Amino acid sequence: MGQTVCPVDVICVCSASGEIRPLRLRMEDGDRRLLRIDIDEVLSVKQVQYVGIEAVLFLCKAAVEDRTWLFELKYTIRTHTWCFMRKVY
Amino acid sequence: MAQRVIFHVDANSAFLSWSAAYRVRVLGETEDLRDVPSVVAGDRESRHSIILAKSTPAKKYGIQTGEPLFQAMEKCPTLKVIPPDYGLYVEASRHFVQMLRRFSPVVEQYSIDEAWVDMTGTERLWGTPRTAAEQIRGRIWEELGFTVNVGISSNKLLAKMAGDLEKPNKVHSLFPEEMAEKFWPLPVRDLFLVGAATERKLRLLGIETIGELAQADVSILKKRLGKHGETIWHFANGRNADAVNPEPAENKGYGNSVTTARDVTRREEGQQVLLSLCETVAMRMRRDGKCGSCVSIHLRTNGFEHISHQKILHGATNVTTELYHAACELLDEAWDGYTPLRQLGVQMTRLSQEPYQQFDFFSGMDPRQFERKLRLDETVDALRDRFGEEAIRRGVFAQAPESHMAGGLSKFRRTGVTKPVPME
Repeated sequence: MGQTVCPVDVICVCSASGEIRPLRLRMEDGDRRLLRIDIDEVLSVKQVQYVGIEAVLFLCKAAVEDRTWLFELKYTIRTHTWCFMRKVY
Repeated sequence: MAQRVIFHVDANSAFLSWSAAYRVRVLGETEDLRDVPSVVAGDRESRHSIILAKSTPAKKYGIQTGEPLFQAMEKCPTLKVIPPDYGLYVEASRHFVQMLRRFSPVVEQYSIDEAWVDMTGTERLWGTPRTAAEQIRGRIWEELGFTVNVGISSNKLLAKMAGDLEKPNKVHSLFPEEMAEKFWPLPVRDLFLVGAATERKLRLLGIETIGELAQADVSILKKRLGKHGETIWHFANGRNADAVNPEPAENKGYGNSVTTARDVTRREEGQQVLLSLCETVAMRMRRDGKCGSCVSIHLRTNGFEHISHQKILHGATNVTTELYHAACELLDEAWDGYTPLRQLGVQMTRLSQEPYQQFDFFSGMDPRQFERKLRLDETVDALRDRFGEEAIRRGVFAQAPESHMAGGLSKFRRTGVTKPVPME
């Protein structure tokens, strides 16, 4: 599950210096159960602008049901939307 | 003076690769449209569906940009068709030009997907022209996610020709010393500003390749093709002194056309379409403070035959009704009145920007009446600016299903699609 790109709800911190850090996200799993994921660590932040669409890619680590997930979240600046991009493991 | 170094950077099948890059890099889709036969085409339901861009695999089926969608579907029934996304293209174009400006401050955007970059004197910054071009190509791919062709030469014309040599995702150079090998063997049609009509005329003179044109007698060319003959002769010899101009060039004319939802077979219908076109053309001219004195119309029949006709007015104008009356006269002269028409267009050229109006004895135009028309137009423009284009319309369009302001793009995608995108 979680392999495909899907829009997700995110709670994040916008710091006084303009940095964004995702804290928690909410998404549906394969069985359409609502999954709440607390992000333990943001490992890397990368600005991208594919086809001119500015976005920020976050590589995040979280514990989900006793497993560690490594996954990518994307925040699109223009639309203010978050996407679960892919699960690395 | 040291030799100039000019780059021509052209996004490969821009609309398609921008849509493809968006789907792969932003939406995370696995299928890349660039690897399968696919096209960007307008709405299939309306008759506007022509191919706007095609992928390289689609090109192998012989599909051409500009041909109707149904024809392309016949060539390749498995063709993937995606709708255009103009907002995305404008954004992509803007970032494309911004990226080029990182390499040189002198960037001239030629259209939404191509630009010239003056790289003269940047060798110590970016390395040899080829190295710099590879860097541009690489960074656009990495950061923006699409491929470009870069043509390198010492002037704009040869740079553009170099960029077209082999596609996609290539860097080519075409310096004057390489012309005999790379440029002259090409068919004359490939030359910049040589279209179907000029090609036909040149063929009658026995000129098939650019090399033959370069060696032709310029006086004969001038006699047959006028000034244009001399221009393309210089082009064929790789001569072009135009500077890369970062300021966008002024419009030489204003025009709009529309493909109607159904064929026009009656005079009144044709006039109504012309009026809706005149509304938009004249409004754009007034917005830019321009007047024009040459009106032309072009018509396309349902058999895809092209008819065009033009006339010079007594004085320059941008009054909607003046333009409309001239267009109607032209319609009556050019059209038999029953051949079904699928596309109509109105264009205004011979522009001027004088703050005064020249009247003449013979047209019978009353200056006060003209003044009134002008004021009326200004008021209507102001109303439309403030309350939207639907706020006020002419009575003839009261029951009409068609738009009362035809041509161009629908409102939400009206900026920067055919013209270079204005930078913020």
